[in-house]
Amino acid sequence: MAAEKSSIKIITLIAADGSVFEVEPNIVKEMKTVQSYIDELDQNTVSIPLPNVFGNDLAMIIEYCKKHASEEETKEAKEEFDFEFVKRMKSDDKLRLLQAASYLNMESFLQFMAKAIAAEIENQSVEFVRDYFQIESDFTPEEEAELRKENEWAFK
Amino acid sequence: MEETTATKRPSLNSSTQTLITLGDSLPTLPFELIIEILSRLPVKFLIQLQCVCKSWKSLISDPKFAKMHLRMSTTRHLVVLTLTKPSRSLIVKTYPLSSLFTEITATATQLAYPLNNDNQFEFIVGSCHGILCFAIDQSVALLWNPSIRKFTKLPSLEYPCRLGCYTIYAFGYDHFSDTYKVVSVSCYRSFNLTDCFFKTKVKIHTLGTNSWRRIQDFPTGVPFEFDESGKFVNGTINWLASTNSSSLWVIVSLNLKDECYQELLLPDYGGVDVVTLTIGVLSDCLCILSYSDTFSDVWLMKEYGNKDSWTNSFRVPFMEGVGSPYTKALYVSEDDQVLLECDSKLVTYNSSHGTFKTPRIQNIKGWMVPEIYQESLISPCFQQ
Repeated sequence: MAAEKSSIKIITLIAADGSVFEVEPNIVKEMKTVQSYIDELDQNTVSIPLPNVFGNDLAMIIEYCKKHASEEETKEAKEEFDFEFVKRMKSDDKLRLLQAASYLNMESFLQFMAKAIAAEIENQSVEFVRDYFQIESDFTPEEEAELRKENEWAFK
Repeated sequence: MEETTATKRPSLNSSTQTLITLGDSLPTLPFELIIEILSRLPVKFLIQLQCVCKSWKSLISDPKFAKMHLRMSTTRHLVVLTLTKPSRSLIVKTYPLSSLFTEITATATQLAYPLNNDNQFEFIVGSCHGILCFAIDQSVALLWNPSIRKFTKLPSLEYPCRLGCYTIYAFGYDHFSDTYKVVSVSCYRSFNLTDCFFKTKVKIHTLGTNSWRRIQDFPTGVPFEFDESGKFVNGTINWLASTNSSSLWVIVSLNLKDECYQELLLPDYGGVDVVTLTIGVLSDCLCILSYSDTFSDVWLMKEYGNKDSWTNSFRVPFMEGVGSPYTKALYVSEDDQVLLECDSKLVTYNSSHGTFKTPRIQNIKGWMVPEIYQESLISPCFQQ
């Protein structure tokens, strides 16, 4: 909806590790953090440092945005891409990408990653989930045993 | 069904050890992102996850989180009431709704009905936000969220049960006051010198209070006894009511916000000779099933309150060998299959192919009452 600043042709994104990505304006539309920065400028090229995102992660995010911004791709092709995209990720990748999505203020990508993480932990054990998010229990063993007993039915 | 063969580490200590090294590159997730993830998980699993740590426990039991989770929750279940033989006690079973539209045999989970129901007649009124409402012997309403196993019994209506008198319940949510309300309509016979006619007495119980309040009576007609319950849609309760001139039907609608009535017009059947009607809710729209001799039309009021928005969504022919009409349209799947109840049996109708299927549901024979509910964390036990 917002009229594009036609003057900007290429956007350079610089990741935390110094790696550089050159992308077209339509690719960063979903990244509200970047977009609001661009909107305030009126120049031909712009380079934006993203100190909270690693190069590898940024490469994946750009790949995702390219696929989803494309008008030629069918809905099915995009869904298949999403499936493969999540499949090749490790747990840590998902958690980092979720944080990157939050930092870049990318709403639909954030929801996509949250969903992928939810699917990975669903119906795993409490211990697994603690490990996954690096959470240490602050319940005493007695408190935890009590809580488990109270909700025994949910563990069956 | 639930294989929770998760990676069991030898001890908690050794696992935290490996995570510290990992943690160098990965700062812990901010809590708002944890919320994003947890709001997408099934209820039963979230109940388990209360054991993770104290902050997760308070999150999962927070009513605000329950609301957020409800907005995300797409999981729906079919609940079926049946009776045991020969003792005729109530059995409540649930099935994942999605499996009804596939070839897979739906696996039932029996729910622990919270009351001892010997010698009672229980009736399912409806469901809203994962809470099921039951009426017991027409005088007591029970609210029960089977996903979290919490229930509350409302105070009794205390009406003397007279011959020819019946009470119809309804259950819904008013988002202006953020409250759940149960409505009871008691219909009784009244006489004057020349005539006998029906009157209504309407009461509302707001969840969290401890009494019933009388509101204005029906502006016209009385709700049809066999329609069983008022239908909640769009912040309103709707009844099919017959006026004293017995052939005339109207829809009486009660707005739960200001508790005022409105009459809605029925669809224009376009020359079809309609034998009878039932009212329901389908795809979040008010729904009328109109029966002719050989088929049923499923009408949806696409825009609530606008009579011009009545749309004939499906025409369902009567199934071979089944003479009686469909009594309830329960659900429409993503690929436009409609789940119908017909003579205590469930059937799915695929309108694009014109074909029927009987969902493979185990061990259900004889009398049964189906209802759809959404999985939620919303508690029916409200503290003031």
